[in-house]
Amino acid sequence: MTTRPTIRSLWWLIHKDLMRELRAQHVWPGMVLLGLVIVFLLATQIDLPLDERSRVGGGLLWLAIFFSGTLACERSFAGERDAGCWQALTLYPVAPSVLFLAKMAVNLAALAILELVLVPAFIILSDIPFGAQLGPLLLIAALGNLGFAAVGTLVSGLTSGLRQRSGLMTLLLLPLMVPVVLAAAESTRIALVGPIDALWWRWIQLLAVFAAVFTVVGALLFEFVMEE
Amino acid sequence: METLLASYAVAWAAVSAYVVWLAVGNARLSRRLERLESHSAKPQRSDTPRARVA
Amino acid sequence: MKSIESDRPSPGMLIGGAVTTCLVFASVWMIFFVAPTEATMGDVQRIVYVHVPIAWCGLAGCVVMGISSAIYLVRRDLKWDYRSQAAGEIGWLCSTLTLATGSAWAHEAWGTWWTWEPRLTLSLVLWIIYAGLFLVRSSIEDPYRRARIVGVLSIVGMSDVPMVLMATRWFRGVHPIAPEMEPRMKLVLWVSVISFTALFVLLAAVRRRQLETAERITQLEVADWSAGVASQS
Repeated sequence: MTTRPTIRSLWWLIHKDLMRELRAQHVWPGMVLLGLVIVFLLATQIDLPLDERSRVGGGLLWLAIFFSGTLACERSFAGERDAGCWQALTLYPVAPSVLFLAKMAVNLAALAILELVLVPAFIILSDIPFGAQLGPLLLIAALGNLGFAAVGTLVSGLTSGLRQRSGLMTLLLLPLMVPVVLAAAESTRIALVGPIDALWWRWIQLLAVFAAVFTVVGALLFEFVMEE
Repeated sequence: METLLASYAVAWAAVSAYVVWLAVGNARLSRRLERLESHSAKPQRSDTPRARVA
Repeated sequence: MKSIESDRPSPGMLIGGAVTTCLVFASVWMIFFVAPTEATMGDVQRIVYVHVPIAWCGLAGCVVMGISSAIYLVRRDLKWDYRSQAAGEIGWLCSTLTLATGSAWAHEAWGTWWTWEPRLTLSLVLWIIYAGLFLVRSSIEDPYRRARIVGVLSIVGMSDVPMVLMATRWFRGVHPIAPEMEPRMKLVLWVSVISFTALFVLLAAVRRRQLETAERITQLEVADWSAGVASQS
């Protein structure tokens, strides 16, 4: 398989899903709204002095991103399933891993948009100074999103055909994502509260390892998802 | 001391429960197998009765 | 026609069962009568001799489950899915007992039943992964589809195991890392590890055989039923 047609198929698949979302707005508004509601609820609950708020703020923000981001991942295949287009997806002349990467890229875009809305909202509502460490926080978000999108796309592909899929997706995704959410929350806490030390780099390494492993494993296993 | 004995008791009880569950499962499978064997040992019912030709 | 193997246990399994039973009894005897009483915690410390082997089996179960599923995805022989399912059940049982015995020990050592430190949290995550896989298994009827979907999830689920293993070394927590043990204690611990592992391997083998037999009996029943229907039409 040569590279250029693959990249073109990848781009075309991403473009197809992005266009559908931008024109018909199936998923993203709901996801952002859910995220805002969660952020609002969480921000009102942390009525603590500043340094304690900084300690818990990162974790709470990541929880909000996780729960609303799951919605986007869950719906990444639901569109095709519901419209009866799953067969068409399996017939595309692209490698399953390319399909996986395309869906993952769309989910990454969804997560980025989600964070662009939720992070400022959380900063305003909770009054925690996030701006101080923008670079490290961007790194945490980038790596966390990669891991999340990879596992989310894989699990979503698997559960999209099952009967009771809605609660099952979160139930399966949550334990698999705990190391990622844990690492993201802890490194956010360190970035906000204390100096960037060796422990922070260890959490970042963990995030990077999970992002890499989940992406590779997801791409490899995706052909088994596309079988039916 | 009670904590120690309680933990051992719980572990023993859980494993035993699983063993019992396995045994009950195997017993059920034996019964199904016997029923299958006795069922196919019976002579097959004949086809729908044909009309007698005079 | 009745070519299904006898449901009597095979000689290998009987011998394995006898050896395992002896090992387990020996190990329990050693735990209570050979292992010395620990200085700080007293007798309660003996929980370690069940907690460690069972915890190790819980982790091993997850790995065996994932690897068996991977082999299934390549070979498509349902026998590997049965292995995966058996490993999953035993692994979940071990994971539950790990949390239970660990909590009992924690209550004595730290004064609390639970704490959110890395190794405990990730062990609970492992328990949830096992439970989630059970739910998925029970919601799919077609055995091939079930094997495929649960298979992929089992492989991803293995990602928690290295985290649990390395949690005490990578992250600051209160779970003991590798406490210094007297030679007699180490001996008892090793005997316990070997005997409990043998026990759970045996149980998994029995369960796998039961799953295979059940599937074959179901197939025979279906064949019998459709033959019965055909002979009446």
